[in-house]
Order: sequence, then C-alpha cells, then structure tokens
Amino acid sequence: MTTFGLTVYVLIWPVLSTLVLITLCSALVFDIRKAKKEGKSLV
Amino acid sequence: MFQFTTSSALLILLGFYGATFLLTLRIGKKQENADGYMTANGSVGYGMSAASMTATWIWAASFYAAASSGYKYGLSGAIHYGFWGALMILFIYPFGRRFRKLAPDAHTLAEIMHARHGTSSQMILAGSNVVGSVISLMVNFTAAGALVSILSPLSFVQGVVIAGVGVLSYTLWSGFRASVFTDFGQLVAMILAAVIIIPMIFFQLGGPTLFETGMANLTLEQQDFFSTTAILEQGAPFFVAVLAYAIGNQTIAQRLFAVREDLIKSSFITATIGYGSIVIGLGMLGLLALLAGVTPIDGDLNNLIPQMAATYLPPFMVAMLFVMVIGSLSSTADSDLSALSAIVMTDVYGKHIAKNKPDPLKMLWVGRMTMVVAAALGVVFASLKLDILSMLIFVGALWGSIVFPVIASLYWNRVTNAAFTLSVALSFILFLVVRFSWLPIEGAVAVFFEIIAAVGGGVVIGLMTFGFFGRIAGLIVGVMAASILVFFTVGFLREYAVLLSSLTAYGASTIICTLITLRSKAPDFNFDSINQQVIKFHKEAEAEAEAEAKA
Repeated sequence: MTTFGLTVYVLIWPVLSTLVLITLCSALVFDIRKAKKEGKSLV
Repeated sequence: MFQFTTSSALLILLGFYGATFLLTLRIGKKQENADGYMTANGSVGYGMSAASMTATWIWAASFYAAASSGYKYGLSGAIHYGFWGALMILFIYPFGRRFRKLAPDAHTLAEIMHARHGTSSQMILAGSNVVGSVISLMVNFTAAGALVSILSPLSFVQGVVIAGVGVLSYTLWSGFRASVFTDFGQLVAMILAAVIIIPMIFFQLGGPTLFETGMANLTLEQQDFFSTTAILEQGAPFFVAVLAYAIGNQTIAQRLFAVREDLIKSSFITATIGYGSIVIGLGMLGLLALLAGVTPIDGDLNNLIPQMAATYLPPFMVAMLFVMVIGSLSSTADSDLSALSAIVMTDVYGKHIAKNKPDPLKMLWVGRMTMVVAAALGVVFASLKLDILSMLIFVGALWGSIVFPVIASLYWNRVTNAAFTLSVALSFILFLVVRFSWLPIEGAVAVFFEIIAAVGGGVVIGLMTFGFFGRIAGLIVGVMAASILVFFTVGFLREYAVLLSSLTAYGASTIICTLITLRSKAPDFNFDSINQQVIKFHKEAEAEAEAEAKA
C-alpha cells in the first residue's frame, strides 16, 4: 500500500466516527422535538 | 509519563459521574414502572437506541484489545478486532426483529425461552447471563482501577470503588431508562475523544512519513494486509466468540426489546458503523505504536493507549482520553446492572416467585436490590483481583452452544425442550474436551472434532445468510461452507485449540439439536402462544387492580 493509502487507512475512521456523531445528534434533536410535541418522555 | 494530581483526577471522576447523575434526574420518575425499568416500554427512538447499542457494545477492553491487536498483528490487526465486532451488531438485527414479532412485550430472551420450552432452557440463558454480567462488571471496574492508578496517584482500589459507586448512583433509580439515556452522552464523549486523539497522535509521530521510517519495524507477516496468522489467531476466534455474545447476552437483547420495532434495522446499521469506526480507529493507535517503535510499559499491551496518550498528548487531551475510557466502561457497566436486574425481576421473581402476577412495586425493589448486590460483587471481585476471568471461557462456550438452538427454537416449530437442553449440555461438554485437552487431540479424535468444527463454521456462515436471505439460502450456503471447510480443517485446526473448541460448540449443538428434533413425535409448537405468556407486567398489575376495584 502507498503512503497516501496508509494515511487514508488510518484517518478514515475518525472521519466515519464524525459522520456517525452528526447523524446521532441530528436524530436526537428530532426525537426531542417529537417527544416535546407529543408530551412524552424521551426514554 | 504524565500524571494528574489527586485533586484533578478526583475532579474529573466526580465531574463525570456527577454530570451523569444530574442528567438522569431529567428522566427520573417518582413512580417508575417495571416495564420502563427493564425495557423503556419498547419505545426508544432511533438516535438514543443506536447510541446505546454502540456504547454498550464498546467496553474498556474494546480499546485496549483493538490497540493490542494492531500492535501484535500490524496492518490488519485493528480490523480483525473492530470489523468482526461491528459485523455482529449487523448480524443480530434480522433475528431481533423475529424476537420482537414473537414477543413484543418481552423483557429478556430467557423469558421467551421459558414460553417456548420451559424452565430448563430459560435458566440456561438466565444463569449464563448472571455469571457473564458479573464478570463484565468486574472487568470494567478493573479497567477503571488500572487507568486511575496509571494516570494519577490514586490507588487501584480507589479507582474501582469510585467507578462502582458512580455507575450505581445514576442507574439505581430509573434502571434501563437511565442506562439508555446516559449512553448517549457517554458515546458522544467517546467519539469526540477518538476523533481528536487519533489524528493528533498520528501527526505527533510524524504523519505520513511515519510509514516510510517505521515500516522496517514490522515483520513481513505484520506488513501483510491478509495475514493468515492475524486471521487464525485473532479474527476467526473473535468472530466466532462475538457471535455467541450477540445472541446470548441480555444487554444486547434488552436493547432489541427497547427500540421502537420499526427502527430496529436503522438503529443497528448505525451502531454497526459507529462501533466499527471508533474501535478500529483506536486500534490504529496500536499500529502507530508499532511503527514508531514504542515498547509497552512492563510489556503489558493494555498499557499502550494510556502510554501513547500520556507521552504524545497535552494534559487536556489526556483528560479527554480519561473521560473516554471511563465513559466506555461505565456505559457497559450500567448495561450489565440493568441486564442483571431485568433477569432477576423477570426470570426469577416474575416467572417463578410471583407466577406471572408480580407486585409492581416489589418487582422494582427486587431490581434495585439486584443492582446493589451486583455492583458490590463487581467491586469486591475487582478489588481482590480474583481470577474469575477464566470463567468467561465457560460463559462464552455456553453462549456458543445456545446460538443454533435459540435461533432454531424461534423459527422451527418442531424443536423440543429436550432437543434444546440436551444439545446445549452435550456440545458444552464437547467444548470442554477440546478446550482443556481432556482427550489427546490427535489421530481419529482430532479428525472427529475437526469435522464437527467444519460443521460449526458452516453453521455460522449459514445462520448469517439465513438472517438476511431466508431459510433456503441459509441451508445451501451453510452446507456448501461446511463441505468446503472440512478440507481445510481436517489435519490443520488441531493446532488452534481456541478456534477448534468454539466451532465444536456450534457444530455439535446444531447436529444434536437437529437430530433430536427430527426424531421427535411431539406436536408442533404454536408460536402465537409466546405472546400470550410474555406480557407487560405493569398492564397486568393495572388490570388486576381494576378488577379488584370493580369487585
């Protein structure tokens, strides 16, 4: 594997983690709004 | 190496557990109900459940073991830990949907087995989970003690006690609801730390030039992305073990029963990607340490991550790592406490003492007392450094033995209680024979077990195919896989006792369960009856109260 390929191999995981974090936070905001609207608890 | 002062270490720990406790006050109810305490009434949304699944699946050992694997096996090492662990989250969801369809109000998998087969199969699942969760608590508290003693002047036992009391304090009142709710914050802390720490250490070590200067530190095997050693010593045994964990462990089942039914798939796919990226990413720290020629302190690979952080990161980032590890072990420990309380509440008190008509208030206190006892046991075992980790081998083997019987019992209406119990018991004994060399594994004996292990390999691959593509595809792929594997296992697998014994558990349980079932003349089981026996406890109690009021 080239140096560039190895660098991507090491750094791709934090990038994926960031995407997951953004997805989860967006989903949480959506869930909080929905729970408030329906007057229910989040869990 | 960098160390916190006693006061700053205490401040971080108290800050973490204090903030977590305050968070749970937001969802605390004066009168919790038993179903909410165990499964949050099966109505948790996508973000919370995906985060909770990820946080629970990641325990402190995930970081240490992934980094150790990266250090030991080189380029492919981290993948052979994180990828297989992630894949199993994906693998479980089709079966989870089936569990929910059969018993929408279930609290534990053992409860479903009780409705399907009766007490013996229920107790196999419940008993193995009690032992497994107490061990998990001990391991997580041990990790807290070790981290605290490395990074601060506080002692190992002080770290263990702080973690035990901290986790119990925020989980005790609201149970599973608190566990799920706090998992989100703990996961966010873990991801943030991973996202910052991995690139920082990479560039501190020289960035891309590290690959040019450090590749000489890797053996040819470690440079090979398709290393056979890494697959046979790390990837395959872990894959087989973690599959058993996914099916047998109550912490996972509890989340399957908690998430809204239509969100199971999306939650579990997100958790798969989340787990894989965090754990493989942190596993890369092991590879970076290997490239940089770092030697672990005292030769202990578990020291790699704290050592790398303390050497290459500023104090603020070390504090982030500290919080990340404490968050990971706490999220798993609170899940274990919730799992244990659900098992004692449902499978011991609800089903056997109260005969499916529990007093809801008493049931809640049974759960809370279980948490107190379990946390105390975890702290004591960790503090005394008792060697009960070896028991994990037995729990893992038991879970390996139940994978096929559990899945078959919930799809095939001919499987009997005798088929379930006997197949689990006999395959467990066969596992012990191989794992502890009760017989010399050579000649005809070795060939016998290698053929069973080939069947076991076929079962693993077949079940995964069955989950996603149905029965016919699962059968065809499973039989083909076993037929091909037999050429590779015979004469070869005897050198890998861990893998051979694990696959034996899968293969033997499948063969025995299938043969007994096919010979059985018992009437076919009606799956609809499971839903009639597995009920919501608080609704039952409300109905009884209403009936009494009317009378």
